[in-house]
Amino acid sequence: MAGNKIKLQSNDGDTFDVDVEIAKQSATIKTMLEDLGMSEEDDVIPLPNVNSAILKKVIQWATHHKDDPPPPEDDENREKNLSDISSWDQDFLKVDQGTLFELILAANYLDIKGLLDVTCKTVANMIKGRTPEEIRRQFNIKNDFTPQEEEQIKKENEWCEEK
Amino acid sequence: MNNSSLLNIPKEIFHLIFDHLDTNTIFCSVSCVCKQFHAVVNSYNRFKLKYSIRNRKFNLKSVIDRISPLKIVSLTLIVNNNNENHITNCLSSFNIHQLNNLHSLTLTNFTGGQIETFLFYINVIRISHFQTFLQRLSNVKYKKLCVENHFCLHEIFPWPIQSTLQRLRIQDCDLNAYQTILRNSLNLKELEIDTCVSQYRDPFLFSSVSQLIKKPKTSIDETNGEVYPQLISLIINKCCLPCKELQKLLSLTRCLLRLRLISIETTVSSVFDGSNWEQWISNNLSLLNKFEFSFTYIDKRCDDTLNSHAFIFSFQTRFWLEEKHCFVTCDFIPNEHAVLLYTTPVIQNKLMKSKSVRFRVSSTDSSCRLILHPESRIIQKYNEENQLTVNLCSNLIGNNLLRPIIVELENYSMLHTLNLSKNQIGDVGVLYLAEVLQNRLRLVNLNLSKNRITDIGIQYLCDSLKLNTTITSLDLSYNLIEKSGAQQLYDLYKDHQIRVKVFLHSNKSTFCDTVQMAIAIRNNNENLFISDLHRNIYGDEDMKLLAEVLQHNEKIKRLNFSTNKIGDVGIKYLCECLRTNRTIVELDISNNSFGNVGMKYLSDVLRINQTLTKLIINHIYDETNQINDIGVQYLIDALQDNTGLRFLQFHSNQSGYGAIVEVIIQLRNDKSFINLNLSKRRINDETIEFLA
Repeated sequence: MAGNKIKLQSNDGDTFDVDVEIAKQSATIKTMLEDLGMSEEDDVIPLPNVNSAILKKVIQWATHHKDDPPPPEDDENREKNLSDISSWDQDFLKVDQGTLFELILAANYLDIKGLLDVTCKTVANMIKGRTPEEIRRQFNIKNDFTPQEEEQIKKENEWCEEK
Repeated sequence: MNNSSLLNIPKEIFHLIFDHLDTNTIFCSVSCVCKQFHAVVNSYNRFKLKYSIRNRKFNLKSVIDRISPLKIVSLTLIVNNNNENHITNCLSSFNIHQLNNLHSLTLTNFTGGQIETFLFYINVIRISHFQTFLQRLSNVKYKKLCVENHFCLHEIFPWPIQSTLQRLRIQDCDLNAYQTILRNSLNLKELEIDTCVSQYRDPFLFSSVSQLIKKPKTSIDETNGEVYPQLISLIINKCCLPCKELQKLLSLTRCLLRLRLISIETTVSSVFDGSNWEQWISNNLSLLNKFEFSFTYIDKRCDDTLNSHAFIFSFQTRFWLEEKHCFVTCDFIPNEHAVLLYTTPVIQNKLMKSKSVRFRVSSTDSSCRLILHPESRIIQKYNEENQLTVNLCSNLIGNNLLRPIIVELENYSMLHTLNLSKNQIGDVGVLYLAEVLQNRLRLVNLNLSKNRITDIGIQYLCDSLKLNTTITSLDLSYNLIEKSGAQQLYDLYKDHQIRVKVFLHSNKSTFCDTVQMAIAIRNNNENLFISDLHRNIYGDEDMKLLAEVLQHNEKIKRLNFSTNKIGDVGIKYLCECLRTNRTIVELDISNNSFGNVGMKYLSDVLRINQTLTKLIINHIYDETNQINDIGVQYLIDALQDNTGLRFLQFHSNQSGYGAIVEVIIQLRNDKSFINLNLSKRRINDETIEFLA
C-alpha cells in the first residue's frame, strides 16, 4: 500500500497529490478514508475549510513530520513537551499572524495534533512574559475596558501580581 | 483571508494556547487585554498552579479560591526555605479535597519531614490515609505524583499502595526500591527516576541515598522472576548503574514502549555498544518503540586517536535505522575530554551546551565534521575587511581530527589567521595542511607552534610553501625541528619574494633560532633589538648564516654578539660581512671563543671599514684559544689606517696591561679617540710611565 496517493482539494479548487501515509496524520482525513473506504486514486477529498496557500503549508509540515512517532494519547504529555519547538518548525512558522491563525484553524479542522500543538505553542510564546498593553500591540487588539473596569480587574488579580 | 485576527479564534483553541501558559500570565496579562479575552479566561478550566511556600499576603487557600478550586488540574508546591512555620501556615487552611479535578500534584524541594507535615495537614495520616488520598485522586482521569528533590520516598511510604497511581516521578532509586514500587503499584504506567544508583556502590559517594543502600534486601540475581508488565514508560535522568545491573532492572518491565536513559561513564563499557543493545532489546524489550539515550564518556585519556566511527558503526544496522528509527550521533569534545553518544532529537545536558570545539559523526552521516558553536569565540573577525581568524589552540587535535577541520575551513573564503598552536597534529597533520595551503586555504598567518613537528613535516611544508604567496607569518616554535629542517626553511625564504616572519625558537636544534634570526635580519626587520643576538648559542656555522644576511641588511646599526661561541672562523664570516656593510656602527663581540687569528681578520677589516665607531672585545677567554700580545699588535697596526673607530673596550683578556695601554696611547695619538676607559684596570707605575 506504501506510496499510494490521494487528492486533496482546497476551497479555492486546487487539488494536491499527497501520499496516503502523509495525509493520514490528519485524523479527519484518516477517518474519512476509513469510513468511506476511499482508496481509489481518482477520489478527491474536498476540504471546504482550507484554502490553497494554507493547505500547501499543511502538506509541507506533514511531509516533514511523516516519520515522527505518533503523538502521545493523553493530554498530560503535552505539557511535558512544550519547552522546545524544533528549529525546523520555528522556521516553518515564521509567517505573518494571519497565516499562523489560519494554520491553527486548519490544524484544528483537520485534527493534526502535532501541528495544532506547535502552532498553539508559538502563539503562547508570543504572549509569555508580556504586559496586557504589549499583547494588544502584538495582536492589534483594542482595549475595550473602561478605566473603572480596568481598575476592578487589577484588583481581582492582585493575588497573582505578588512575586 | 489573511486578515484573520486572534479574536476570530474559537474559545477551545484559546484554551489549548492557555495550556502552554502559566497561571500568572493568564490572569495578569491575558485577562486584562480586552473583554473577549477576559471572558475566555473565565471559561478556562485547566489551570496549572505553581505556588511557592513562603510568607505571602495571599495564602494558598485564598489563591485557590480566587481561581476556583474546580478549575485547577495541577498543583505544584515549592518549598523555598526551611521555615516550618511558612509550611504550616500555608497548609493549615488548605483543603486538597476541594480540588476535585486535580490530576497532578508535585512537591518540589520537600524534605521527608515536610512531606509528613504535608500529609498531616491535607488530613491524611500516613500510609493508609495516603492511599485514600490517592484513591480520591483516582476519581479523575489522570493521576500523577511527583516528588522532587527528595530521596527515599519509599522509606516513608512502604508502598502498600494498591492505588491507581499511573505516573510517578521520584528522585533517587535503586533496583531494590524500583522493585518495591513496581510490586505495589499495579497501575503505574510511567515512571521517571532522577538518579538511579547501584545497590553496590560506595555509600560515601552517594550519601543522600546511603539509607537506601545499606541493606540491599534482594541481590541482583534474586529477582524471583518477577515481571511488571504495567510499566510502559521509563525515564532515568541520571543512571549510575553498571550495564549488567541496568539490564537486570530493565528486564523487570518487558512491556516498555518508551525508554530514556542518561548516563555518564568513566570507561568505554558495553553501554556504548549498539550491537549489545540491539541483541538485548530484541530479546527482552521487543515492544520498545522509542529508545532515547545520552551516554557520556569522560576521561582525561580521550584524545585524537579515539575512534568516534567505531561507536557509530554499531548503530548503523537495519535494526536501529529502519526498525527503531533510532538515529545516533557521536560528539567528541576534546577540551572537555568527553565523548557523547546520543539519540536525536537531542536530550539537553550540560555538555550539549558546551561552546568548545566538537567533532561529530552520526549514524546517518559517517563523515566526521567540525562543529563550531555559534557563540564560541573560535571564529572572530580579524579586521574591518571581514577577514576571519580561527583559533583552535589547545584542542588535542591530532592528524585524525585535522581533516574535518580543513574541510570546514575551506568554506571560509575570508580566512586570514589560523591558530593550531598546542595541538598534536605532527608531521602527518602538516602533510594534510600542506596539501591545501597551496591554493585552497589562502591563509596569511599560520600558527603551528607546539605540535610535535619534525624535519619531515618541515619538508612537506616547504614543498607547499614554495609557491605560496599569501602567508606572511609562520609560527613553528616549540616543535621538534632539527638542523636540516631549519636549513630547509632558510633556503625557502632566502630568496622568497614575500617577506615572511618565521618563528622557530625553542626547537630541538639551536640552529632553528639562528634561522629565525637570519630570516628576520633578511626581512630588514626594524624592530630587532641588539640584544636579540646575545643568546649564548651562536657558533661559527650560525655566524656564516647571519653574516650572509647581515651583508645585505641596511637597517641594523648596532650588533651585540656578546656571550656566544664564535671562534676564529665565525669572526672570519663576520669580517667578510663588515667588508661591504656600511650601516653597522656598533659591534660587541665580548665573551666569545676566538683568538689571535680572529683578531687578524678583525684588524684587516678595520683598515677597510671606516663606519664602525664602537668596538667592544672584552673577556675573550677560551681554554684552547686566546688573544695575547700578538693579537693586540694586529689591532694596533690596523688602527693606524683606521679613522672611524672612536670607542674601544678591550679588557680582561690574556694580553698584558702594557699591550692595552699601547692601544690606548696609539689611539690617543690619533686624536680622534675621545673616550678613555680606564676602569677595571690596575694602573701601576709601569703603565703610568707608558702613558706619560
